[in-house]
Amino acid sequence: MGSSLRSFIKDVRGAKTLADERATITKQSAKIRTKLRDDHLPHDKRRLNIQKLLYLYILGEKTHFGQVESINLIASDDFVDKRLGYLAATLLLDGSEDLLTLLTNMLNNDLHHPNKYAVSLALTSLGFLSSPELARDLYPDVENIIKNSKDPFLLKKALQCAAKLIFKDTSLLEIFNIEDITEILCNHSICTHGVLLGVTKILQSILAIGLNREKNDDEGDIDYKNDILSPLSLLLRDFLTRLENLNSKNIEPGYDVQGICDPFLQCEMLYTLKLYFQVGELMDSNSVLDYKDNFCDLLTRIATNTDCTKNSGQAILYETVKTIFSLNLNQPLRVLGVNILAKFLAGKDNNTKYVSLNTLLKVVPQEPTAVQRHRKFISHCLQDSDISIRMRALELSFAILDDSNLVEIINELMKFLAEQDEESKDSVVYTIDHLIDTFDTYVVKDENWKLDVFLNVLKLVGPFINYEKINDILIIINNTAQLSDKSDFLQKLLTISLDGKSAEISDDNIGWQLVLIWCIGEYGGLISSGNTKSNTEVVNESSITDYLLNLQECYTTTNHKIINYILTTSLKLSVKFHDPKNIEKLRQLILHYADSTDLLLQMKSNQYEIFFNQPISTRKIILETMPKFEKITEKQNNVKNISKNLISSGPADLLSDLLNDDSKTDIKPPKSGNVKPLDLLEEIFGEKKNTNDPPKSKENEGSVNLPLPVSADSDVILPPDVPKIHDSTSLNVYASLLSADSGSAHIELFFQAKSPVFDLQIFCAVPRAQKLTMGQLYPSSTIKANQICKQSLKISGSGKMKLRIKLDFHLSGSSSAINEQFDHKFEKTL
Amino acid sequence: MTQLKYLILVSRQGKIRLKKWYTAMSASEKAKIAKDLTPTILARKPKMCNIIEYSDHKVVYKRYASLFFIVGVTPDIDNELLTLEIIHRFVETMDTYFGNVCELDIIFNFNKVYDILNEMIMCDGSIAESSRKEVLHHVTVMDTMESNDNLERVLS
Amino acid sequence: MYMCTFYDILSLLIRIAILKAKKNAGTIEKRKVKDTKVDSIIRNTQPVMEEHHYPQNKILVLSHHSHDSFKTQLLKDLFHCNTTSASIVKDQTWGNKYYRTCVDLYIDFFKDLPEWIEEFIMPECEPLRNVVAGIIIILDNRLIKPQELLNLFKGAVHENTFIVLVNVNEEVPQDEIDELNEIWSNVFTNIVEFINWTRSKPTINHNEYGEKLGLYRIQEIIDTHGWLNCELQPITTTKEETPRDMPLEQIITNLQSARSKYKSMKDNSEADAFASEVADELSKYL
Repeated sequence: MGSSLRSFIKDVRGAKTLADERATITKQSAKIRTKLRDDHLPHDKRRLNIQKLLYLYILGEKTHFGQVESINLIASDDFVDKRLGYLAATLLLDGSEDLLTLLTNMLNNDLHHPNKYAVSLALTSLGFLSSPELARDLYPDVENIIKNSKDPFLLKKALQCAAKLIFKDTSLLEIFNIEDITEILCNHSICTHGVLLGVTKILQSILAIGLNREKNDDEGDIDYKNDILSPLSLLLRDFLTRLENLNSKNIEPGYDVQGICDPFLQCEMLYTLKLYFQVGELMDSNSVLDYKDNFCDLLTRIATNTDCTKNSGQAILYETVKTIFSLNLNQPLRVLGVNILAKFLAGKDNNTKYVSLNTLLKVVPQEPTAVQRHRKFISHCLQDSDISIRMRALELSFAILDDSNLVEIINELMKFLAEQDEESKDSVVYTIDHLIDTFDTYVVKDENWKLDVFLNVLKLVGPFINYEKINDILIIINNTAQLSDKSDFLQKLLTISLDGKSAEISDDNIGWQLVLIWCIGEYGGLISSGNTKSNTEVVNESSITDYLLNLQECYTTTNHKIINYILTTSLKLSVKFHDPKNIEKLRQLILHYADSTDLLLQMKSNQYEIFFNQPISTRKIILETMPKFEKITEKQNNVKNISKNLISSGPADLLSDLLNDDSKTDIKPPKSGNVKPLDLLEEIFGEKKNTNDPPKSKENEGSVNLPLPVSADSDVILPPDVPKIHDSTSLNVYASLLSADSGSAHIELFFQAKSPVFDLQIFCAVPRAQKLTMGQLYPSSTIKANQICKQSLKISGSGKMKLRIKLDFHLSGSSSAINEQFDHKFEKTL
Repeated sequence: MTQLKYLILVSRQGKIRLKKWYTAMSASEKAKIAKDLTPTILARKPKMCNIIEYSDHKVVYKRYASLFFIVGVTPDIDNELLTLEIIHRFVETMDTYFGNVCELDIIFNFNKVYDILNEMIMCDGSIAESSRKEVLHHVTVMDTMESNDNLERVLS
Repeated sequence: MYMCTFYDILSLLIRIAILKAKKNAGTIEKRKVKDTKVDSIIRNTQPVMEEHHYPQNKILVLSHHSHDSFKTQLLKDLFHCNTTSASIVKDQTWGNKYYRTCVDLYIDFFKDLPEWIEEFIMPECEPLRNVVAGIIIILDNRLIKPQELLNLFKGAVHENTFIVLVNVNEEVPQDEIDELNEIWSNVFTNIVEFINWTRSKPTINHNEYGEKLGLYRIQEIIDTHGWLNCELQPITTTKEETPRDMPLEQIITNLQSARSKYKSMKDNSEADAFASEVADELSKYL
């Protein structure tokens, strides 16, 4: 040990033993507690201890014992005590009723305090701590300030506070007098920006209550539309003018943010106006809706005139766009909105890019073509260095994908996949999932190109693809119409793998290997028979056989899934290859696993060996090329589950067996030696019965006819026992509550058209305490007669589950839109 | 509309320097948020966007010198770009109050920082005052009043 | 006699007040900070032990011999310590506008840093590790891969000990340092920070995020360390240094009310104390 270290140790030897930080804090906290208990502790010491306590609060320590003491400080005559007391109370109090009751009196006193700062502290604290009880008890005191005070400082706080109190106890709406607000707005000298912020807050609060109120529900004695909304709408003209002035103002020192005048107030006003029109539409109130055109004009002006180069201006533009789309305003405005978002995408700032992508994703259903027009910018974001930007660009790419841009977008995505690394696994998995869905949904004429896409996917990100998706890819390959496309595909795979330049394919690219092995089994015969333009020097029976042997050696201990595939492929090749030498090699390969410690492999090996010795004609029948599959899986998992249950045995098993999914095979009890060959045959090749089940499959041109629960025309199936919640001349609506627990629920709505329905738009509202996320309408917004489309809803929050649903749609032969609205209550409570 | 859920100030080393909650949450939820967010945000690269998704809401953060200002916002209600402006306003205001504010100022004057914050943001995290001058004026007057207490006590 | 004292003070106050009103600006006398003890204790918001001596106040400063000159300069610039040879410098004052504390500097050098660290994390060194507030290592990032060393530290040092790795090789770009910080900031609960110290560009003390660089950053790390033995400075914040506002009429009114109260007081010594207290308080507004 170095001499210095020694001398250091010597130097510290005398020091006291060190208690750790934790112990110190505990000790400190205990000391504060003792001190605060002392009634004779002077005020300055009392404050000091509360301050220390607040410091401990920031550190995350337990500080509840200081709650009463902070309330005591509020009672002091000294301002310094009062200020600290209120600060401590707002931080330390946790809404326990007893303590809030204790606080009521103090707040009451201070709200009438001669010193306006004492009043202000009380208002601020009431705003933070208000419970429904406090709201009821103290609202008159706050209202008193709103009515009588001419001090903007107190007014703004009283308004903010009142907004919260009204929201806490909605019955206060009955007392609330809109004229108080009108008077404030009329009095120029007190109408500062702060006061205006307070006014927007109180309006937001009242409007939000209206939005949550059920139209025909008599909550209390208020007729919201006539008693609240109508008088409230008298402020609209003034509000619109104010916002317009604010937006066109160039510079007002004190409120200027990068050349924008008070973006905070502008955004609050925009939001308030949005609520106005939401409630107006909900209640069909002309007193509000009469201003809609004016509002649209104003939005257009704001959208055109606001500087979009700085964050402050972008914030306003973003608020404007959100407003346009949540009110679903006219098409020119929507296009304008999309264009603003596109401008954000073209910029350099990642935050605006982020909000833009997020918003575009939400508005695609409303304005698909306008969004598609900006595909270039979206694709550009796929290359962004920020993963959250890339991920959103990816989601958006799939959202705008349709027949017209499918090829371009998928090519962009290939570029994207090529650049991903280990860290971005999530986005790769996402891409693969959606690529597969895409190919399931859209008909691609150029199937050769489609297979090339998968070749690339396997090459680039094969290691990330899970087995389930490999199965899906195999189905897509299998279902490709042209045999030549398939053998070309195999040819390409083999060329890469056998060429010796296979460094491209790493050992952990299991996805690639599985697909390759399976394809060899299926299409190996085409290659060996020289049907293709193959490079026979590289790709031939022997090289393929050797390749399988190599793979087998390579993965023999590491990946039994691959070995499983190899065994089956070897068996399949036994009827497709011609050279007996190679066939013998394959038989040896199978035999190699006859005493494998892996029971499944052992079983397969033994069974295949038995089968290998059957006459070639028997084998050929069984080992025929796979028929076309209809995939049962649907995008929506729930339907998938239902379908799976309905067809629990039979085809689903067949599918997995053929695709060598050992998760199913695993379930079968391993059979030991003395089992009759014939039983075995049936057992392993259960598919034989089905593929050769002539009556049905022949009729269907080789496709396996899956027992779909509802007519095959309809993509969406109405699950059994789903209650009908709405019945009109055009539509039946059913709602299925899939899950509801711990603050979140998943609901699916099914819309069954009685006659053809076009452009169905669905608007849903949930109570204020809940949040709603709507999925996309599936499969489309146009429904043929008796067909069904589906909308999934996710609700989070608490309280009763009520839905208000509004439908907009057209019927055939009519250009005018039809509106229908209805409510539904679920029995469950979140 | 502004409806901030919370504001947390974290040093570059992950020490919490200030926190303010605007929504009711249990102590364990609060602790979890602070514990989850700190490493996530510290690990973000400088050029990355300042908005992340966390649990059921979004988080807007911004780094100023050695401090991260972390704000939880209500999805669909809050405007993330405006939240960035609010954080900036707050920092500017502190800057004027302390004269080039640094982490040390905040550690030793956290109650003043709360005073400034409470003048700007009220109730359920809604912005109550957009003028820096206005906020500073009232905080300073209250500071003066604290020292007037002695005089008033002496005189009474 | 008491009366006389009071009126003397009053007349002085009034004269000052009038003078101030005439000039309409500025302060006449700098207010002396009174009762700083209470003031400062209020600021003492850290969970601090006032009474007992808490010994975790050693800062280890080490470098390779070849970087001795850097070490000397760092000690001088940061700690105003002119030592070149001594390995222990006791009771160095560390202060800022909020507090003052006492640190002991343990100055060392290493031939081979991993070796030094291995010794430092041996059980024998535990008493030392327990009292180390921070470790400042001066090194050349091109010669020593510091990241490999950090794992050695892990778990050995006390959890609130800061570790600062000061790179003095000017060829190392700030980006590289930033990246190291990004990687390591989450691995430890300790403060572990890489810092670039370029003596040739001492004027750059902030980066684009307003973050302090070089020695300024080390200073900030030491400043924000949770010292447990610090003594708070008799300070006033910027705001309090500015003259307070009270209109002249208000002062006069206050004086008048003070005077009548003074007159009504029976106990002379009490009255005298009152007078001086009033004078004290009111002078703050002049």
